[in-house]
Amino acid sequence: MIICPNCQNPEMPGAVFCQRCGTNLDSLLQSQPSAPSFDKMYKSPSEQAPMVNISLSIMDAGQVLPLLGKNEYTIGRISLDQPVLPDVDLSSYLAYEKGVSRMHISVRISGRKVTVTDLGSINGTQLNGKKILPNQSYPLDHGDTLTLGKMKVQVLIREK
Amino acid sequence: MRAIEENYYARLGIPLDATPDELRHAYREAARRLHPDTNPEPFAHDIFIQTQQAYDVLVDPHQRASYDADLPPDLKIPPDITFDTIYSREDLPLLAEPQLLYVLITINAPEEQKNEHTLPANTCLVVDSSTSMQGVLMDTVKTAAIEIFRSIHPGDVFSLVTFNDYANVVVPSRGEIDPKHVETTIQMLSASGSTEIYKGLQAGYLEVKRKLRPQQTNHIILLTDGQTYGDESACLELARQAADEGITISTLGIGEKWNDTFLDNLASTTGGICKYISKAAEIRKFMNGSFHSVSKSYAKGIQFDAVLQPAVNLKYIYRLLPEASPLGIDLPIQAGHLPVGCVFSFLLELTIDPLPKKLEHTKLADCKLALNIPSRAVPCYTLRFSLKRPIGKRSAGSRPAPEISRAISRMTLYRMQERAKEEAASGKINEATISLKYLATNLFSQGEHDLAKKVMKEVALLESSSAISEEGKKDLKFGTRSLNFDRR
Repeated sequence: MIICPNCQNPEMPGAVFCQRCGTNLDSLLQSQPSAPSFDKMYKSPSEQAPMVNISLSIMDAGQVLPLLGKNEYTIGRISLDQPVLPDVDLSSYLAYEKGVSRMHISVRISGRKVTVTDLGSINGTQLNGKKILPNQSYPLDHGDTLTLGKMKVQVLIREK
Repeated sequence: MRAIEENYYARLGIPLDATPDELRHAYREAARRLHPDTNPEPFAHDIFIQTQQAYDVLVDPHQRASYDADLPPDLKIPPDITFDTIYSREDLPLLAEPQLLYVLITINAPEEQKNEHTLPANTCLVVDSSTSMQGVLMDTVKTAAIEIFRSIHPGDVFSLVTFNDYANVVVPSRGEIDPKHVETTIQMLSASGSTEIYKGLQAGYLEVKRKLRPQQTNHIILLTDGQTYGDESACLELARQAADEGITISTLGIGEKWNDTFLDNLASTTGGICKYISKAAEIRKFMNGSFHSVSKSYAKGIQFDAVLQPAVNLKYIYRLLPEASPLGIDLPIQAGHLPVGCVFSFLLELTIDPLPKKLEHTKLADCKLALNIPSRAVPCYTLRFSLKRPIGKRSAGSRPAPEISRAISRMTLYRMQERAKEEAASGKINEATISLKYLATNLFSQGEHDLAKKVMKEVALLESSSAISEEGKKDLKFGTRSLNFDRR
């Protein structure tokens, strides 16, 4: 079984495009005989329902975007020639001009724990002014500032 | 009366390498079609005798061998086509779970020869004139019918049938054609009665059959807006019979209300084309494209058949060229025609059950692609090939070739809209909305902005009224099919 990275649809090994969302699965073409099953990957016991609400405050625009209904959000910008869309689109806040990648970071909530992962963005991500390594998760606290390229975003975490 | 084919293989409509089974089958078919009891045409009797004679020689291996030895050698030169199969992966890993494999099969036809005479076509135009066609639709149909009529070459056989609750043969296939009379008749058509497609189709079928010659294009073009009531299965049965006899049915749906699933089935059963026309202005474009190409075939009646290994299942067949369309999976499949100087290509989706260990190569299927190339002395030509793959140990980073990747992408987009429509029809509005959004995203990313916007319009409609519009269903279906498939 291979799992579509975009919509989590399970596909047979050898699938070239996800039947559900049309994402090109080229890079997953390799069979993954021992790959963890869908349930294991996405409903592991360590996964807990979110117990906090998160909002992102776009500092330059003075706007607050609440993140609702999921336990993981991808954040970036939408442009026309893009197969995989982020959950949160920052393009209306001059994301392109500020060097935000299309898939820049993901924010994950498990219980009270919130983490951020840079998804291999071009211009990188800073957490409270320090650059973080791509594809590694870092814990987030209420009031932390993330800098995506040059765009500053403050993370607001509240108990439900 | 035309000359009877001079060699036995052409007479029976079989390839030079026909197996004894294929020979017997062809003979039985010909006997059924030509026996004086069932076919009163005077030519049928002569041809029947000739066919019998051909069969008697070929069925005996010794006589067949000596007959073959006497055939002119140029008959044995294979046709000037190139044939290719591309697999989605270079080898098959040994897995404990089922896996997918795609195979893209293409045939290139040679360019048109200058001295080649085009064979006369036998076309019947079947026009819906029921009440529902009143007004703009009727005008659209008239324009289309006249365009189709004008594309008929002098010397071709042409017939015209109109229908509502009964069929009316306006121009019989055996009569002289008076162009003025035909065009005036079409112009004078008025709408009345209900739609019974079977009546029209049957009359059209009889007209074409009356002038049926195996070596020419035998084509019924059905022009309708209509839903037909209760006679779908009779129509499909007739279509299967027509396909067996080498008659192609193409369907042209006018307006928004027509039953696209049914007309699509009808066309694909016979290897024909199904098109959607929303405006009269689009007709000329189709006339110069698809329909023209059916009458300028290098090969017609292409049939695909395969014997699959027990571990292999055929899941989907999608034709990319010359016209994109799913082909159904009930083997053997009428796969359509190959226009002169063009490409015929289709994609197979196979699932493969877990394979036994200690295997180096595996054969997946024995396939047969039968072509009918009217310009050749032995028109039937069969490509026989096996699908096989080496067993790999997780070949490093092998990606599918761009060509097959693009083909799979096209097929995926088509199936995404089918899926969305199914979800919407079964009340899963949320799923359908998500499916359509995914489709729109993909279309935007491929620069298909117009179609993507139509999809987004349907998303809005789905959210407000929990249904996809009839027009939208057709826009999506035929829009995703007509996406450009550039092989380079």
